[in-house]
Amino acid sequence: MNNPAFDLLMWARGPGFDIALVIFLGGIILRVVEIIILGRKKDMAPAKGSPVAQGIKTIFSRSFPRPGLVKFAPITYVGGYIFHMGFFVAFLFFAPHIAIFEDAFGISWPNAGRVIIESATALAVLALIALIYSRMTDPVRKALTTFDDYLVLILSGLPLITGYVAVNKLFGDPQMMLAVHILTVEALMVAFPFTKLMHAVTFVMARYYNGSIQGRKGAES
Amino acid sequence: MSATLERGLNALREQIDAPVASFFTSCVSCGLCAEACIFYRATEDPQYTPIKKLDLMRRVWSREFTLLGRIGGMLGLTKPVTDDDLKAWEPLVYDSCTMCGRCTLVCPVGNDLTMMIRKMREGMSAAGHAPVELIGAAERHNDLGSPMGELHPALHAQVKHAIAETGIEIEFDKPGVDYMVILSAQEIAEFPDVLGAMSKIFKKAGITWTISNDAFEATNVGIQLGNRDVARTLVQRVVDAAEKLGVKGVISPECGHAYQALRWEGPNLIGRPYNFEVIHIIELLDKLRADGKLKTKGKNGQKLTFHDPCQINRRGGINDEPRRLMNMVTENFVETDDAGTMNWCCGGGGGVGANERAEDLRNAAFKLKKNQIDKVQPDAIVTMCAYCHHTLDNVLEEFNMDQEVLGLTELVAEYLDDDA
Repeated sequence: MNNPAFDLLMWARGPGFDIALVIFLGGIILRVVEIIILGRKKDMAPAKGSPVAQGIKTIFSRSFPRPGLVKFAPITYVGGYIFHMGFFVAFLFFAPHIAIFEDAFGISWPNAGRVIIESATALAVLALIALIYSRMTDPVRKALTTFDDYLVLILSGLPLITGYVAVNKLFGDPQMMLAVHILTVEALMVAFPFTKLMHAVTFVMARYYNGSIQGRKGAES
Repeated sequence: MSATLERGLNALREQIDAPVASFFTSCVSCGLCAEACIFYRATEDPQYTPIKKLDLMRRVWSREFTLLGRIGGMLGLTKPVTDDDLKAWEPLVYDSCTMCGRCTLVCPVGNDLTMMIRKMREGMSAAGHAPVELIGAAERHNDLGSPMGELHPALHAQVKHAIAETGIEIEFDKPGVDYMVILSAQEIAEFPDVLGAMSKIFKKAGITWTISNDAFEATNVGIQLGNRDVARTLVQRVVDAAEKLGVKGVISPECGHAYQALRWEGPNLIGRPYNFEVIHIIELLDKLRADGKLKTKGKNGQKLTFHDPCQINRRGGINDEPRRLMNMVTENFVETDDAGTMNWCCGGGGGVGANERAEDLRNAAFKLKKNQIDKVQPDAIVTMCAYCHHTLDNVLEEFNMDQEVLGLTELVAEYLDDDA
């Protein structure tokens, strides 16, 4: 029996996923080690505040914008929030995704309904389009944008779009569309350690350092 | 490759540590740092986006400190940083950044961009691409004791004047006293009243103090220029003098980067903690207030607002202290928008004030500060940094604004309760 869609799906779910996972995890470890081995000199100025506590606090508090700034870059702020939240709702609360986690780690959590998942997906994709538009038109964003920025936006959007197509059987062979969806996820995983997608890991370090530097001085962060 | 370029790149490489690598790895080029930057906001020119100012340091990091970058470099896919690049970046790193620290507080991934500018200046100056005024100031400070040159005669004259006015003795080089006072050149040259003010306050509070002839200058052009050797030498002078006199502490004066240099960078520059404490004059006054040793009588009735110096508040952690003192001696204290941690810079910090080439940009940047002031329409502006004071005096005049600028220490001294 010759069923290329089925074969591709099996490859994507099996060896394809394993390869992607190894690159994803190995790459992240490499990049994090690359950072940590550079070290950080001990600060000898007597602390006024609490560097460790404020470092940890800043990991969370920096998720919220400073008052009054949103209006100066509304697409970046609002688009950024909607994309991140939409992406993670679709990724973490779609029943078949939870089933994968349950299979692998034996843990599960309640899933969200179809309306929520599909709205989150659609909103995240719209937000991505707005972010791409802002990169192409806004002078500050335009001046900073490189190929990497468009690549990560597209790589982040493809799993959302292909997932939506596969689930709703919008077009194409359902098995093929599911295989394509999984492959786009794998592309995202492979690119992750070597692109700006790494921020999703290293932001924790950056925010901690920022908070601890400011916190040592008793200054806000 | 020229020797100076190699020296600059080496200085830059030395500055790249785990925080820097985590910052560059985390940057998603969102550009939100631009919205926090006084120079971008005043001009809307995208080249002033803070992360853009760090691009050469990012390239060095990427090419030499990441595996993929090293491979890319070997394959010739990325270009090494050249002397022309550094030259082109000089106005971005020095003229359009006061190291005010606002970008550091808004970056969503938490990048301390200001600290990276400080680091990048190490490479720039080592490569010979720093403003001539800062290099000149460093030479004068090193050779003559102050960025303004030889200030001993002026200091002695001002001290004499303060003694005559207050009737309180001020002794030089007196060992074993509580504090050694250091001053910013700007105070000696332009705002010497602070001497008499401190004299009166300390006498009432029972504090003994002295000024060292060996190290009375608090400013440190080394941290503006970005030269650790200069910065270390200047910090070491103060440390040696203070330890020789055996004082309990050194009082950092109303000067932003002086506080940053001695209190926060200093121990790291000389490689050890001090044998004395460093306290900012406003921290000390607030402590005296809390201990009941600073008593005032009456209040200023003018409409007063407060300008937070970046290096003392946002980058220094002194935010509530001046406000408690303001409330003690004023009855009509109004805060501007963004007051406190997110206050707008006067535009003169980080060496920008000394940099002639940056004058137009500095005046353009004042727009943000001006908006803050115009909205509350104060009679006078109080601050706790002599250089902010100096910059504000100049730009207010330039813009035909008639507000007076006051130093907080002098303001407090004015209302000192003589009977207490």
